[in-house]
Amino acid sequence: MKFCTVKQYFDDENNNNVTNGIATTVIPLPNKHLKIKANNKEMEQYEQELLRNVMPQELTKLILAANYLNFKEALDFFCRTVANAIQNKSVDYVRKFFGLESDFEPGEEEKLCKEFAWSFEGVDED
Amino acid sequence: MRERVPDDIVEDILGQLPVKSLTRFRCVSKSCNSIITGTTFINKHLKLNLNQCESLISTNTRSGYLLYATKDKNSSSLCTVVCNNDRTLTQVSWFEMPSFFDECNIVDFCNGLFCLASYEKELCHIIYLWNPSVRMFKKLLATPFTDKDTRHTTSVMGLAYNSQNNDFKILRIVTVLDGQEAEAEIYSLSADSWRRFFREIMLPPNSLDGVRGYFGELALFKGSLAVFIISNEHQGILCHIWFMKEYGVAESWTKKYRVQTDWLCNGDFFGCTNNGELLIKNDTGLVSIDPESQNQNILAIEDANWLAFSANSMESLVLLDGGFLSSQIVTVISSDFGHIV
Repeated sequence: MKFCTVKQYFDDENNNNVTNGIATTVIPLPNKHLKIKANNKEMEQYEQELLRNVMPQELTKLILAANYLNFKEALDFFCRTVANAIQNKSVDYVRKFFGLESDFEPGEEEKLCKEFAWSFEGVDED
Repeated sequence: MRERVPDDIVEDILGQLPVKSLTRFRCVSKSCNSIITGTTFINKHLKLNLNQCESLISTNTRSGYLLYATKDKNSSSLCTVVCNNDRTLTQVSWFEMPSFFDECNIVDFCNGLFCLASYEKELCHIIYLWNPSVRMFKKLLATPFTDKDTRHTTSVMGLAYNSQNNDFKILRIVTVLDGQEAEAEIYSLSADSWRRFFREIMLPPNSLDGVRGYFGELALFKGSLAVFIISNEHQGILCHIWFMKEYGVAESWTKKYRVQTDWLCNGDFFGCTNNGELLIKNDTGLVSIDPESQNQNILAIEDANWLAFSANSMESLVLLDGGFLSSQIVTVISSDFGHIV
């Protein structure tokens, strides 16, 4: 299943879903997975190394690529990494990250922020 | 134009975040708020949390958690510590209990919710459900028993989670005249209502023969229902532990241990850990005792008026509509979601 989508990718001429840079990161993963499938610890270390120099914003591109390629293991891993990266970030950061906009009625957002003021303590600066 | 991450993937990412982050991200957008407060998401988040804790215990990374309440002159607080495999304890979180809980004691807890009631006041007529992770509570009123002679009545309560219909339930039993009469009622959080019912479970046969001056406790011991019958006999204070091998089947009661329990003198029993150690507070302090080897391990907790063991770290998104606690002081030293990656 994974390899069918990859073939389709190479067949598409104007493919905006997966840029070259991302392809070199995501596509080698299935092979690596098969080689060291039994050893979770090794896989974890490989994955950490792979993402060490990737900025959180780049992760959204990786997620879109893994989703397009239907590559569940990579998608799960990228999602876990994003969860860890955004855990202590501000509301604005998360909005920008996911491309979301505040659609609250005037005053609604302030009311929520006030009720849960404690959840804003110790948040990373943007 | 930059493509957005699809909503279902956003939801998967949110599901892996700790409660504090999720509460804050309710302010991101209307749809985020609606996802995070939705019953499906709350249940998914809870199940993920429970599964991860279970796998940590099964891979022997840790032995579970101890929760305890302490009281100093100003306030009560609830602490959670991790039981490391070398028997040391590491603090995970600390919550100050709201001042109006002062009249109440914790009677039970389950999956991040705590149930508090006052035994003295009208036999647990006033009950509080408290979710410290989201700082919300709800006050409940059970059936008052003001028309009965309360000198000869006792009441017990338990909190449980029904995973089939994703509902929290409180069971309250009031017994009159030394257990000859009992009334029971169950509260459902999703229905916000009480229902009376009756169910009998026979105690171990002949368990009380020849026993004078006893008291009994029910607990979960290594996954089975267990009865601890503690009596004062000529050999000293003995504790008989019976297991119900098959739940609901009276014939399956099996006597497992008979332990000399001098350590229970002037002591309080707080249930069991998942490997069968008894949690007791006695003159030595707070200890966990293995009934097989009779080894007594002193816990590195200075003092507590309530103690319990939990297999999971108890973070819950469950919303309670009784009110918010804006001034509750909290220290969370390490979020247990740190082990995901």
